[in-house]
Amino acid sequence: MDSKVKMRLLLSVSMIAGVFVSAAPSQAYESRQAYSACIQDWGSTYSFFSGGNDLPANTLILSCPITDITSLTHPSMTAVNFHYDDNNPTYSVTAFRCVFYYNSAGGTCGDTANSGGSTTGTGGFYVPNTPASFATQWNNGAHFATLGVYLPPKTSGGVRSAVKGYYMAN
Amino acid sequence: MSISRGGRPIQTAMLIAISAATGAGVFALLGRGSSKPVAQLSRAQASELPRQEVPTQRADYRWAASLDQRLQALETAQQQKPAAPVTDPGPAPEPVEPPSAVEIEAQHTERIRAHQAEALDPAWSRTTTTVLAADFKHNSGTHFNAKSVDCRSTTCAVTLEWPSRDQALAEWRRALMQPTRANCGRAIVVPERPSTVTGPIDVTLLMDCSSWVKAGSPVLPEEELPVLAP
Repeated sequence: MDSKVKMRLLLSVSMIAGVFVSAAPSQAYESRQAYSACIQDWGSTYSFFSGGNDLPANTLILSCPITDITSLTHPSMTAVNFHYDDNNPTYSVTAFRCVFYYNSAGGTCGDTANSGGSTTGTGGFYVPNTPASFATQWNNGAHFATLGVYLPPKTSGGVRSAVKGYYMAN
Repeated sequence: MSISRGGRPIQTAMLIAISAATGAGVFALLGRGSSKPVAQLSRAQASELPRQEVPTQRADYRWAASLDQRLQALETAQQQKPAAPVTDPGPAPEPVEPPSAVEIEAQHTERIRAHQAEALDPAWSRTTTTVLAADFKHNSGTHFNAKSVDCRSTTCAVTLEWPSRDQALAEWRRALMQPTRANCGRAIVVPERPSTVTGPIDVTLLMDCSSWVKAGSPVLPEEELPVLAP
C-alpha cells in the first residue's frame, strides 16, 4: 500500500472515529416554577395571596414569567403545562402563552386553555403554541415570554382558586 | 512501520483500528478535558492542584502580622485611588437577532392588510363582531375604547382608541390580555409617531381565530366571561 494512501486512510479514520466519539447526545431539560413566580398584572388593589385570588367577585390577570436559559429557551419548549386549584364552579382557570416584543411596544398571545367552567378541583393542562401567527413570534428567541393567567374569584365561602405552578421542557 | 505484502489485509485492519482508537482518544480529550470537574479527577491529578497554604503554629504571629500589614496597605491604596469614571457600556450583545421596531410594525401592518383582504363569512363575521364588541366594553379601570370591530372569516381587527400615546403605552398589555368569549390569538403594536404629534391614537388589536374556527367557534357563555377588577 502506498504510504500516501496509508496516511490518508489513517487521518480519515481518525477523524470519523473522533467525531463519533465526541458527538454529545442531545439533552432533555425541564424547568418547574411555583406560583410565587407569578405577579398580579392588573388591578388597583393587590389581591394575589398564596397563589390565590382573594377577590370575591372579580377575576385576576396574572403574568407568570418563562425564564429563558441557554439550555431551555422558550422556542425550544415542547411542553408548557399549567397546574391549578380551581374552586370556582362558574369560572375557569385559564392560561395562555404570550411574548412581548424585544424592540417595540407590543406583543402577542396565543390560544387559551382552561380548567373547564363548571368543573372544580386540582389539575393541569397543556398551554398551546397556536395559532400559527402566534407561534411565528413565540419561536423568535429574542422576545420575552410569559404565561397570561385568568384566576377566578374566590367562592362565597372564601375558598380561593389558585395557581400551583407550571412546568416547561424541551 | 514496514508492512510486508503477504500480511496486507491484517495489517491494514490493524492500522484502521489503531488510528480509530487514536482519533477517538484525541477527540475525547479535547472535548471533555477542559470541563472536567475536580471531583472526577484522579488521585494523581488531584495531588497536582495547588494546596492552600496553612501556617505552622510557630509562624502564626509573623504570618498574621504580615497579613495585617498587607491589608492596611491595600486599604490605604484604595482610599487614595481616584474614583474611576462611570461609563455606561450599554447592553451586552445578545445571541439572537431581534427584529427592529420598524420590522415589527411592518409585519403588523402587513397582517392588518391580509385581514382586510380575507374573504367574508357573513354569519361568522356578524356573530363574532357582536361578541367581541360586547366583550371589549368590559374594560373598567382603563382608558381605551373599542372604536370598531371588523371580523372576516377567521380574523378580526379591533380598533382601540386611547386619549394619548402615553396612555396606550401604559395599557396595551391589559388590552392584549382582555378576556373574550371567542378563543383567539391576538397581537398588538402601539405605532410610533413623532413626539410633536399629540392627542388620541388608534391602535389595532388583531385577532387570529383560526384554531377557534376549526373547533366550530364555540362562544363561551356570557356568565362565564371573566369580569376583571378595575
